[in-house]
Amino acid sequence: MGIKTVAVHSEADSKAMHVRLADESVCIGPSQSKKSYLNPAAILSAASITNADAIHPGVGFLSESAKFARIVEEHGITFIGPAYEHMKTMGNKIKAKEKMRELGLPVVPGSDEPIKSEDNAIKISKEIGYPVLIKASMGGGGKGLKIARNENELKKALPAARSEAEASFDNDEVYIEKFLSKPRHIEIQILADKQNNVIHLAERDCSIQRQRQKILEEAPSPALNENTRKQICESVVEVIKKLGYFSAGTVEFLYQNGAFYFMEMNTRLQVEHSVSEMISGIDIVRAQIRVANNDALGIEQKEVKISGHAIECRINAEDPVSFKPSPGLVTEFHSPGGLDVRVDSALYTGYDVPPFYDSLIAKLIVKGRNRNACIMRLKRALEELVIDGIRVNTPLHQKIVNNPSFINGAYDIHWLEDYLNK
Amino acid sequence: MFGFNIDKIVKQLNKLLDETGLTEIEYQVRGKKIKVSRNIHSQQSQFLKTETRTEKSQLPKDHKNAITSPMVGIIYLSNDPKSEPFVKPGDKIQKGQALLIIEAMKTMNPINAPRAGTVTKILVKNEQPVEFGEELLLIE
Repeated sequence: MGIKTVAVHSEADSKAMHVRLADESVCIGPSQSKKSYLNPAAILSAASITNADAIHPGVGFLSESAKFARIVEEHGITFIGPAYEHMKTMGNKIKAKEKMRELGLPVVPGSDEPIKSEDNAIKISKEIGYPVLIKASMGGGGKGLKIARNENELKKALPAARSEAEASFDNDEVYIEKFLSKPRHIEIQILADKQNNVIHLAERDCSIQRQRQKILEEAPSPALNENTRKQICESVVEVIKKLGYFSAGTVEFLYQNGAFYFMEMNTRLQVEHSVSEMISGIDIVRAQIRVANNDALGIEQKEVKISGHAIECRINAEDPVSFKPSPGLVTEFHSPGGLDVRVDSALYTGYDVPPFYDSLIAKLIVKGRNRNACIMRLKRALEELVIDGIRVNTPLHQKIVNNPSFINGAYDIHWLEDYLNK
Repeated sequence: MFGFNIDKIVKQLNKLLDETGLTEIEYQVRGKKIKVSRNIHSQQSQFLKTETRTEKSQLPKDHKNAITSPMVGIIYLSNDPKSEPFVKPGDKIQKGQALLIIEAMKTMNPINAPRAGTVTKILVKNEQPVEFGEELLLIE
């Protein structure tokens, strides 16, 4: 796009790929995230001394902080993302459900308000019916969730959920939802501009999870047919239009027995956005930047052509069996190639993976003309991928893509863990 | 410096290529142009050279004596544009004495000496932007 860039980084990331590729770089703090990547003052200072016009918050860290988005805008810098008011509404999971229910989306049955007491929790759980899930109101990313199968478990899980919520999200507010036994996680990618034009890029199936962290994602979902897809995507677009939301966003659902239940909305770019790019041909990050610049989307829904099938494997720096993190020196990195094989990664031979951050080090994204062709291509790409010197979860992905249940598309959000625990 | 002897020029440009690690040099004088380039070995392309693009201190990192920046911001060597700088090279300073100011987000943050000593070198200029960890001055 011809836009100059400034890479901000912690001391631990001074040799990171984005730092080398950017036009300028600014070290914003020590390795601890709180003092660097989660430090709004340092990031704003960096923007100020480099005369930056806009900030892209990336994924994770401050990308879902409505407070940060507001501070950025108040300083006359464009925040590449949605309006901070929408981030605020959707950031509170209880308020988000309320809002979406108001606008006509089906939601997971649960408490309409934060849980006030143990008695309150017991009453609601009786109404909804066990098993129930206790979730942090300010949570997300699959963290801070506790299951209770009966009243006894509920009494134990409630205080535990509160302290986890306090530790992870600085807020011990929790709510209760019906626990669905075999749902799929299906999410809809939307893109909207500031002129209220909204399009969807179909859905992603992110049911392959371990400890509520997505491991592998695919688009479209093998569980949906054309009709179901059209219905849910159009409902979501209508809701986004009513909200007046702009930029990229993902509306997440649990899907069970043919019914959708709204779970939460992510008001940011997601890690797995790449599979939607592969099947639609639309560059989502580029669209975000254009929207932030007040440009119109420039494409109508009828012009969006969803074709083929794409799968993304999250390659983590961890032991494929014990899942123990494995930071360290990458002695050799070879990226697979060929038509429709994409690797989004900051790895290079000689790169030292720091121990301070998320274990995700590469995304292998493959497209095929249909799901079977995609799986075949993915198998080859996984074999071709070389990351030596540290342990990575490539063998786990190879197990998944060779598994009959996966090949048949017959899995739900518990499938991977059940398979690993066998 | 360079004569019009082609052999001599090529030799000298080649030497420059080796010394600087550049891949291509183009030399033009009075309408005559010559370009010398080198093939990159495939092994070299795997290792990206870590060249710093911003103006950073060229001194080797002298952690023992260096005071480093605790934040991102702009350096001011004196209290205001009309005043004398807080310190000069050669000054003897006490612990806690003001050395310079870093402006970050419209707030002025004084940077004080963590120990007593003598200021040997000031590594930054007035109004220079600095990043976290950048060396500001040396105190012995």
